[in-house]
Amino acid sequence: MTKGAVTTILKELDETEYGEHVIIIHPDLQALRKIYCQYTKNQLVDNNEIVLLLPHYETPDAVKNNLQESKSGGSSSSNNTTNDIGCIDVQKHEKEGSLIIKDSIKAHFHSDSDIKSFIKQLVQHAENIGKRGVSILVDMGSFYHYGKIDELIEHELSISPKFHNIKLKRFCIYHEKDFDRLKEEHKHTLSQHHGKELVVVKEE
Amino acid sequence: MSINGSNPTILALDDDFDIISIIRQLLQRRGFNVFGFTEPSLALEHFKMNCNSYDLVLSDVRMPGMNGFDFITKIREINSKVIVLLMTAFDSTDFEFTSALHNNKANGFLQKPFTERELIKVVKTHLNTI
Repeated sequence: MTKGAVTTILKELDETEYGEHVIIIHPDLQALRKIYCQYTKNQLVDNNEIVLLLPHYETPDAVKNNLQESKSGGSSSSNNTTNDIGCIDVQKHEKEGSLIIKDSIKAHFHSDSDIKSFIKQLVQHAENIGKRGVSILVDMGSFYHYGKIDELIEHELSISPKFHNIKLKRFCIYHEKDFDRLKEEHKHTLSQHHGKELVVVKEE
Repeated sequence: MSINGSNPTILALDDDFDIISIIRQLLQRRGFNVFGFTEPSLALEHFKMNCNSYDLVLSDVRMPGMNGFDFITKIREINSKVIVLLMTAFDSTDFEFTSALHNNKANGFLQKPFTERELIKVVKTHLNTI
C-alpha cells in the first residue's frame, strides 16, 4: 500500500503499467479532482491514450468543466504541482473519441450495453486507431448509492487483479467514507484483490 | 414564521463545502436561520438533538457515507412533520426521485444549478411564507 499526498499518488499513477488493476481511496472531492485532472491530461496529451472517466459524486458536465478549466481544487498557495496543469481541450478529445465521460450509475446500472464489454471494445478501438492504450477511472460510489455492497464485491472480484496482454489500466476509486462502511473482511478482500492500493492523505 | 414563532430554521446538507456556504449565505440574507453541514452523519446527530427546532431540511442526494435518500428517511423517522427537500445536479426524473416523492419521503426537489430566486421561491413555497 502507498499512502501519501496527491503529488505522491500522482507519481504512482504515472508509474502504473498496462495490465494493472488499482484501488484508490481518497478523502475528499478536492483531492480527487486534482488527481483526475492531472492524470487525464498526462494520458491524453503525453501518453496518447484513451481515457474513460466514470464519476459518481460529480456530474459528467462538472467533470468536463473541471478538466476544461483545469480546476484542480487546490489553493494557489498550497505546495503541489497540480494547480497549474494547463487546460484540456475537452471538446476536441471527446470528438476524436479519446476522452469519454459517463455517469457511473448510468454506466453500471442503466445502460443497454454491459460496461465490461464496452471496455473490451474500447481497448480494441484504441489499438485500431493507433492509441497506446486505455486508462479507466471509475468511481465505485454508484454501488453504495443503491446499497449494492455484495454486488460491488462480486463485480470487483470478477475483474482480474492483473490483465495480461491488454493495454488497459483500471483505477477503482473509493471515497474513504464509503470504503470505511465495508466490513473488515471486504476491505481486506478488495485490498488484496487489487494489484496496487493507493491511499490519498488529506492535505491541510 | 417558524413553528417556534421565530424566523424559520433550516438544516442544509451538501458534501460540497462551497455549495453549502452559498446556500447558507443566500438564506441567511433572507432572514432564515440556517445550519449547514457537509457530513450526513454529523447533520443527523445535530438533527436528533434539535429536531423540534427545524422547519425544513434541504439535502443533496449523492454524498459519500450516506446518500440523500437514506438521510431523509432517517430524518423522517426522527421528525415526520419536518419539510424535506432534495437537491441534485443529476436527472431528477429518475425513478428513485419520483418514488421518494410518492412515498412522501421528500416534499419537493430543487434542480442544481439553481438561482438565488429559485432557491428562495422553493423554500418559501414549502414553508408557506410567500
